Amino acid sequence: MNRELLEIKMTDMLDSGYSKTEEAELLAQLKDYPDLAEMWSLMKGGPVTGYDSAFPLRPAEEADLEAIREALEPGVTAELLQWFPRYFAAAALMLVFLTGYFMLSTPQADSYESQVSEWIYLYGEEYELQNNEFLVQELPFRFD
Amino acid sequence: MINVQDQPIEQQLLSELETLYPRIERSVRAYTNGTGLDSGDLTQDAFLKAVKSLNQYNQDSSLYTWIYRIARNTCIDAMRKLKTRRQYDAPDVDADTQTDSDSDSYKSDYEHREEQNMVRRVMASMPDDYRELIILKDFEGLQYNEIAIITGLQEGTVKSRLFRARVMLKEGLLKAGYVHEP
Repeated sequence: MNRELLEIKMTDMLDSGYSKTEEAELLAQLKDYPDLAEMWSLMKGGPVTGYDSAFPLRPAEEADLEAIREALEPGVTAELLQWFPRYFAAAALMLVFLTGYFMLSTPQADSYESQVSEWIYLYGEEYELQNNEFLVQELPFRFD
Repeated sequence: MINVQDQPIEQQLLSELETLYPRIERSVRAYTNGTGLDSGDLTQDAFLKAVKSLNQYNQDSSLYTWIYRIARNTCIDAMRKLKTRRQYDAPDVDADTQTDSDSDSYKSDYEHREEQNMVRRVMASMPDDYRELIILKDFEGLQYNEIAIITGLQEGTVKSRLFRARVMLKEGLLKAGYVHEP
């Protein structure tokens, strides 16, 4: 059994207790490691105590706990601040996409204005044309 | 009856906060003992970091284990920044354990405080990784598998190092004149 396995064995024995037979077996294994045998005789006297008084538990400051509670339960403003950038980024992306789509779908770069005019005035012009044709048909004479 | 594990993690942390906080603070205090760092600030920092990354907690380990890992990294960063050499500078009288000492109890109080200072001094003189094992096992009573998760070591390595750490602590205390009372 190597040093590390012996250290593991000693830790297990100190943690969960051991019989005299088990200790005799361990001491036989420790014959090749006199330094470990010395450590065992030191440790079997009992563990170190006094941690609790050297490092006592301190009750938490209420202000510290409150700050953590607030961080755990963010208010409406915090939620908005958290979510607004995401929605803003989504809207900006949508705008870029739509603009790109518009520019690519329009056949000629110099006809944007006429295209828009066409979209805007299309209905009015058709109405006017139809109206004019109606007038022309109705009148018994023509204006040339 | 609702199992604590079934609660949303935010609720779980809220319900355990009052018991978790002092435990983590004490571990941080013991870990940074002798550096001059403020354990309260580091603990607060660790908890706020934990809240921000709660979605990363997968409940494979206990909340203590998870937050302790964050606190440990926070301490390591702070200690690295401080570039401190561990030179213990314990006050003669510790405010935490100071008691009203009348003439009858003065001697025993003094001896008690000396013992506490001794434990702190020896702990502070130990290597960080050995001191940490003492904190996790002997202070906090964690299971070896939990300690293995925190430290990233094999369970066997944790046990063998813990044995050396305990020996180191006991030898240091005996050299300093600590009298063990079983």
